[in-house]
Parts: sequence; structure tokens; C-alpha cells
Amino acid sequence: MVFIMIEINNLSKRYNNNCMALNDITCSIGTGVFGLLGENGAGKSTLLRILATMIEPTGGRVTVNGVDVCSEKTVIRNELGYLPQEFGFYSRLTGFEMLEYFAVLKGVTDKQARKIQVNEAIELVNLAEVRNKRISTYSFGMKQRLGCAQALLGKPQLLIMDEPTAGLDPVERNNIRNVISELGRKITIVYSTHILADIEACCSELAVLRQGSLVFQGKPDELVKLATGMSWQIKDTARAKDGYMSLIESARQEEDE
Amino acid sequence: MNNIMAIALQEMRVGIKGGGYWVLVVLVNCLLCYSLYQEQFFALRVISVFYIFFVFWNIGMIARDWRSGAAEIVNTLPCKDWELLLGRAVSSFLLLGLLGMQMFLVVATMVLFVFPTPVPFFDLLWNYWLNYFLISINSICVTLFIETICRSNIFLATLITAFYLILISILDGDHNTLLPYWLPPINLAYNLAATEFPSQLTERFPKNGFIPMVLCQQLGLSAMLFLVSYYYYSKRRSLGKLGLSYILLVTAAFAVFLSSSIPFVLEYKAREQSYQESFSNAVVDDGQAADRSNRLQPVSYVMDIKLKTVLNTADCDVKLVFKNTSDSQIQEIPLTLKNYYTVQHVTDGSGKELVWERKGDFIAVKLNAPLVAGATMEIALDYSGKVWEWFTDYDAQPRGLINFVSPAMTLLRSGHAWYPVLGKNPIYNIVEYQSRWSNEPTQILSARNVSHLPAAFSITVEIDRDMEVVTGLPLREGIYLAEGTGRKFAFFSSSAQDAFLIAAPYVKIAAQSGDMTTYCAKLHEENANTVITLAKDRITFYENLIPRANKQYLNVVEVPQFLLDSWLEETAERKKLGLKNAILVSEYFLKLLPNEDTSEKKLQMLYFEEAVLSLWWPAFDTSDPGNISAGMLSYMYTLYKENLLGKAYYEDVKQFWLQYKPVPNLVAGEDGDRIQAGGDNLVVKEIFLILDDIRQSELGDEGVQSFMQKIHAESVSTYDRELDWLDMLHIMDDFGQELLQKGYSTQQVNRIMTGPRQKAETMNSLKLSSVEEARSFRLRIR
Repeated sequence: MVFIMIEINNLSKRYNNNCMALNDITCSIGTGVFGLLGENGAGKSTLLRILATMIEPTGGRVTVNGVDVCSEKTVIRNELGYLPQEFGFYSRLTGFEMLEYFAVLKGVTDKQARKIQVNEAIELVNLAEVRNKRISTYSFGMKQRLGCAQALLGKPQLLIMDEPTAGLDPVERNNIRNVISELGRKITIVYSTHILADIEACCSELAVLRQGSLVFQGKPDELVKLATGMSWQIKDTARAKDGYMSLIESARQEEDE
Repeated sequence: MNNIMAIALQEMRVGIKGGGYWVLVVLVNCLLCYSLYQEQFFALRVISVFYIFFVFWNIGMIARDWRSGAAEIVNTLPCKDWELLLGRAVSSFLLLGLLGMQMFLVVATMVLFVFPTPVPFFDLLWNYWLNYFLISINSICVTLFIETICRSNIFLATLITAFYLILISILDGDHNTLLPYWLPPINLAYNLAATEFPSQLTERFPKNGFIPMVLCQQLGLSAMLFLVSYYYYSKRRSLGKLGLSYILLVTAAFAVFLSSSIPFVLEYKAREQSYQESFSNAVVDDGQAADRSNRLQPVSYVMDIKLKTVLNTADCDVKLVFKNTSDSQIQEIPLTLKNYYTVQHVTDGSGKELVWERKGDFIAVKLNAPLVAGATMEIALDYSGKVWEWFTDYDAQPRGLINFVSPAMTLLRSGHAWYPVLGKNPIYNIVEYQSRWSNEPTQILSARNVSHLPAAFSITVEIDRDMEVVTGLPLREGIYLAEGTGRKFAFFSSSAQDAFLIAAPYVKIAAQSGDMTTYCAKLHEENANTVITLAKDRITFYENLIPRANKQYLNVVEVPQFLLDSWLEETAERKKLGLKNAILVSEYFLKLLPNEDTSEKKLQMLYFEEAVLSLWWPAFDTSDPGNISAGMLSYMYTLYKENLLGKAYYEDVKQFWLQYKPVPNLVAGEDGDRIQAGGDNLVVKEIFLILDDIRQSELGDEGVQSFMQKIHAESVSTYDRELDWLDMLHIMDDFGQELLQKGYSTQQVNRIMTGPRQKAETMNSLKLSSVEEARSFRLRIR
């Protein structure tokens, strides 16, 4: 097992439309499964895209084991597996062919090794039965799992997954969680979700982002402790909805103050 | 490299699985088979059309990542940007290579088994692959460049690509010799793809130096496009910055591109300059009073010529004996000699230097003592010059090298004053031409025929190569010089006119009767006797119809296609190659001779018929509105065919002419798909109808033959200009007088000649002398 330490220092990202996606974030991510929690637009994907060398920050620095992700992209990419939130494949190819193609792009040029890796990944995400079918015939969930499989190719030491369980049925979601938990023992996984159950199931540590700022970093238990007395079970009726919305709003105001 | 090939192989799988590739395969194969069927092995010209398909097929190489959404993944993969780009480019190249290989096998099979024509297989192979290789690389790099600019916007990429293709098609007016010198850097792959097959006689001459230039330029251009694409792609994918190695690579690519572009530009500038020199000389000549009188007549020429092919020079010593046929004495001898020959000495028969003055193409030699009426005199000229004359006007004239001395071939045309001709005879006329591209008329040169009266000729040619030399004169002797330093030939004729000189690696095949020799490429050796038979058959018939006074020993001479290039091929200007007393046959004709009839072969056959008949009518002009010579040529051919096929053929032709109306939309200089030898023109029609009137009269066949002989005699005596309708009217008058002398009554003569005369008068009143006038006439009659 390779020890990975991601250091994020004063990270900011402002897009061209002047939207501040990340605002002065500082945190450390160690080996294991690290969850990123936050509402839509909180900045999770932006942070992951920076970590995945897709975009560059406007301020601050991110290093992986001391290697700057901006200046040493190829070094980072050699150790990286990335599952974006939105992605696609060449629909003419079969699942196997597509993974083989990505394996080549990941530098697995030996044919035999490539075949083994692709088969392992396919087995891991439960796509063995449809491996030789065209991707155009795949369901959304299958494509999502194929995305997970491609991220696992090349034996990455850092796996970045942007909402990997989104759109999956409960069985497949559970299966992916198991895969993540299993892999998390060997490599560093950073993944984002807004599903608390995913975090509970597999994260050793997590961070909560809100409006581009880091509002919490710690273990899931610590977050649960923080939330004690502040969480309610609500029966979803029209009257109750108005009630809990006002409660949430007042809780936020208190927190801001 | 391993990575690139691995990526390329994966990409090939993506490509092969795509419908686009198979559409491309079907499309280019259909086109290839169609053109093979149409034109047999000339069909590889369609490679230039493939380029358009390739460019379009390549669109999506990069954009497909963005369109499918795979870019999100691909952009975080550890492969390097250049590996990814190069892998994709290599994959496209390999797929196109596979397609090319398949097509080449089709073509090779056709050439070897289906069309048993003497094709230079390795030339075909080389030319095909070189063109294919370059258009493939160019199309890939061009598309890559457009795509990286347009990112995922495939609509914009297609639009820009379409614009690019339209632009190069518009700019690429001519594929052979006439590209503006700034044009090659833009679209040379396209340009090169359209080049002809190498000549079987002269190989790639005069473009042989172009091959390395084109290769360097295309590869340099493609490398630049690739590197710029890489920059944009890398900026987007890895947010990369320019490194020193990148800058060095771009600089190197640019240097390669520039080092081959500059010679190109210089080459084209030199061509243009060559034409401009001819133009300025024509202007100077125009300013001098033309002395075309026959006061001085040549008696004999003794010429000693040394051709130094490597230097492109000709050194000539000419002794010219001439006679003063005027009533007065002459103090100054006017001569015409091409401006690029530098005269070293002019001496009289006793070796005394004579004073001379040169202006343009004219030389005025001042005699030490006046030449009295009726006296003869000898002058000797010693001159030399670099012969490398390009004729590069854009619309209405033959283009390309027209007079040249080179290691591949030498051509000094008849009527182009490569030896001194008595009198001030402008070599070119300056005419105004209305280009189809511009409203303003442009001044262009129109080649004249600097002709002279028959004289005794003795020519000795020494050439520094092992080549056959043809001059239109009977060959007396041909010897090899010591130690393989070249050959020497001696030609002599007691009466010859307008000699030409061609030197090329010919095979010489003499007819058994000894009165005709074919000079052809080695690959066409088998067809030489067929050509001789065809020519003799026709000449025998035509000689019975109109006996020539000055029968020469005849040569049938093959000329490479670049001299009759695609542009020239389709026009009346073809005949301006000007080989007097020789039958000019094109390379295509000899190639196609053993084949079945195709439209191409029929056209070549038509050219052959005209080449034989040009022995009688050297001034024939098939361009609108035609001329009297063309009409006579056409009629003679009709009689020849009638002799073979019977009266019905003649009647068919007559019906054709009776129903014929000049086509109003014929573009200047273009012949269209003509049917008749001599062209399908108004004057040709009228000549046919005039001759037919006489034939249908009581004079019959003998009468029309006698009338034709009279016209021919007149054309021989007016050797330095074309017959006009006034001449025709005079000939008719004379012919009428002769009929009266033969005992025909005035009424009979009037009955016979009224119709023809009216036609001739009408034509004379139209004064059709130029294409523009003919066009306006056509509009009027419409």
C-alpha cells in the first residue's frame, strides 16, 4: 500500500463568470476513503476536478505527496483514477473495447496485462455479462458502473469519484459502496456525494463544503455528534414541509451569527 | 513509440467500427471504378477528389471526445498530449493507407490484367503512393488544425473545412504549370495529387525538381499544422506552456517548409519573368515596322548546333545564303532571332565582320556593300543562349515550357525563330483578351508562326546525351561520339521549310518502305508500326486528293504529355506545338492505340487525324470561329471517311453541318466535345457547304478536287499568314476563269459559283477574326 497525502492549502477557484466556486480551502486528505459532502453548487466537483488535473485553481496550492497537481500533471495522472460526474463513451464500442482503449491511454500497453486488468475491472463492477455488448445498448446504471471500471484501470493510487452512486439502483449502489470500501483499504479515494448513507457506509473521513467554503472536516462520527440535537425526523406532509424549511433557515442564521 | 502505436491501433478499431470509414471506402471505390472504366489508368487523377473526402472523414478526430463526453475522462489520463494526437493522426493515416492499398490493388489488377497497355508500372506505383501519401498527411493535419481551433463545435469545423476546400478549388486554376507562384504553399498536396503520370519519354520533366520540394513543403506544412494543433490541444487538456523543445520543433518545421517554398516561388517567378521577357520583346517588335516582304529569299541554311543539355544552352553557327529578289539594292538585312540568343559574330561569306544592331527579336545587319538586285550573298551568325522559355499566360495560350534545352528533352519549335529568319517577323502578336474572371481586357501574347520560304537545309546537331534528334529533315548520318560523350547527327534536305529540333530518348522505328520513321518511347515500340500504317493509309489518300509539291521524308514524332497538357489538350492551341513536316502524336495516343474505343481514344484519334492533315494545312485553327485551313482539313477528312464508310457518312456529316448552329456559350479557348476534325465551327461549316455546292454541281468530284488543290496552292504561297475570305473570293474568281477556259459557258460558271461565292461574301462581310467577335455574332444570330 502506498501512503498518499493530499495537502490543500488556501485553495480558491473563481470561474470566468465571476462565480467563486472555492474559497480559501485548506485541508489534508490521507489514505482511506475521504468523502466530500455538500449541497449542489457547493464546490465539490470543482475541488475534485482540480485534484484530477482537469482545471487549475485561481489561488492556493494542491499537492499529492508533495507533488504539485498544477505543474506536474503527468505525474499525478499516472497515479490517478477519475470518475467524472458527467461523462460519456464511444457508443459504437463494446464495454470491453472501451475499457481496453482507456487502459491503453493509461499506459497499459502490454496486451496480456491489459486484458487481465480490464477483465478484473469488469468483474468488479458486475458488467461481465454485457462486456461484449455495444455501449449504446447500456442503461444509465451500466454506464455509471463502466465509468467506475475505467477509473480502476491502471491500478491508480488515488481514486477520485464524483458522485459514483448517482443514478444507481439500491443493489448496485450497495455494490459500488462495497467496492469503494474494499479499495479504500489499499488506496486513497476521494469521492463526493450528497447521500449521507454513502458516507456512513464507507468513509473514514469527510469534509463538508458549503458555498465554496469548508465548513467541516473530520470523521463521520464527529459530524454525527455535531448534528446531535440538530437533526429531526420529519414526516413529509405539506404542513410539515413549511415547518422544517423554516427550522433549517433559522438554524443557518444562528450558525452564520 | 509503443504508446503511439497502441493508441493508433485502438483508434483504428474505433475508426473501423464507425460507419464513416465504410462510407468513405464505398465512395472512393465507386469513384475509382467509375473513372477507371471511363478513362482507364488515367483515372488516378481522381486522387485529388479523394482529398476532399479524406478531409471531411477526418473531422471528429478530436471533437468526438467532446461530443461523446469521453473528454472528461480522456483529459485526466496519463498519456501525453502529443502521444494522443499523434496516435490519432497515425490511426487515420493507417486507415487511409489500408484504403489506398486496397485501391492500388484494384488499379494494379486493372492495369496488369484488364487493360493490357504499356504502363510504366513502377512510375504508376511511385506516383500513386507519393500523391496518396501526401494528400493523406495533409488532410489529417489540416483537419486536426481546424478541429483543435473549433473544439467540440463540429458544425463550425465542417463549415471551415468546406470553406477551405472551396477556396483551394477556386485558387487551383491549373495543376500543371500555371499556378501563381504564391499559391503552392496553400494547397500543394491537392495540386500535386492532380499531376499527370510521369511521361514514358521524359519521366517527370519539367517537374522533376519539384518532387523533393513538394515533399519537404508538404511535410513541413503538415508538421507546422500538427504542432500548432498540439499547442491548442495541450493548452486545453494539460494547460501546457510552450517549452523550448516545442519552439525548436516549430522553427524546424517552418524552416523545412520555407526552404522548399522559396525555390518554388523563385521557380514560378522565373517562369513569369520568362514570359514577361517575351512580352516586352513583343512590345519592342511591335514598335518596329514589320518587314514581311519577300525581297530577300533564303537559298540555303548550313547550321551547326551544339546542345549542352546540362547548361540548357544551344550554341549555333549558321551560314545563311539568301537572294535579293527585289528590283533594288539592299543595304541592310533584317533578321528575326529569339531574344534569348546572344549573337557573338556576324560575318559575310569572306569572313569579314559585319555591323549589326539588335532590337527585341530583330537583328539588322548592315552590309559593307549593297546587295544588288538578283544577287545572292552569304552571312554567318554565331550565337548562343540559354533556352528555357516559359509561356505562362493565363487564358488563351499554350502554357508551360515551349522552347527548351534540357537533359530530359530538347525542343526548338518550328516558327519560333530559333535560327535566323529573313525579315522582321514578329514572333508574337499582342492581343487583348477578355478574361472570364475580369471585366477589364488583358493584353496577352498570341504565338505567330515565323515562317520562311523553302530552302536547302543542312543541319548538324551535336548533343551531349545519348538521345535521338529529329528535325523534320531527312537524317543523313547519326554517330556516337567518343567515350559516350553524346551523339552527332547530320540532316539534309534540298528544300525544307521551318525546321524544328527535338532531342529525346526515343526509339527509332523506320518504315519498311524507308520513307517514314517513327520516334517513340521505348514502351510504345510495339505500336510504332501501327502508327506508320495508319499514317501511310491516310497520306496515300490525301496525296491523291491534293498532291503536295514538296514531299518530305516524314517523321512521326511522339511528344510527352506535358507539352500537350490537360489544358492544351482540350483546346485548339494544341497544334501550336508546331512541328513542320512531321506528324505529331501524343503519348496518350500511343498508349491507347491497342485499347478498345473509349471517348479518350476517339479524341486522341481525332488529334491524330488532324496531325496528319496538318501536313497540308499547318495553319488550321480549331478555336472559334475556325479558319479556312480548318475547314479544308475537315472536308478532306470527311472525304477520307467517305472513302472508307461510303456515301452515307458524307451525307451524315452534311446533315450535321446543315443543322449546325454555333454554340453560344462556348468559352474562349475551349473546344468542348467536338466531333469533327478541324473543329465544330462556323467557318468550318461554311467551307464544307461551299465545297459541297461545287461537288454537287456538274463539276462533281473532279471539280471539287481541283478547287481544293487551288486553295491549297494559294495557302502554300501565302505561307506566312492564314488565308482569309478575300483570298477565297480571288480563288473563286480564278477558278471561274479556269472553268471558262476549259469551255464552260458563263451561265454554267455562274450557276456553279454563285452559291459558293455568296457564302464567301457573307463570311467576308462578317469579318470574324476573334473569339469575341464570333461570340457577339453568335448572340446576334441567336
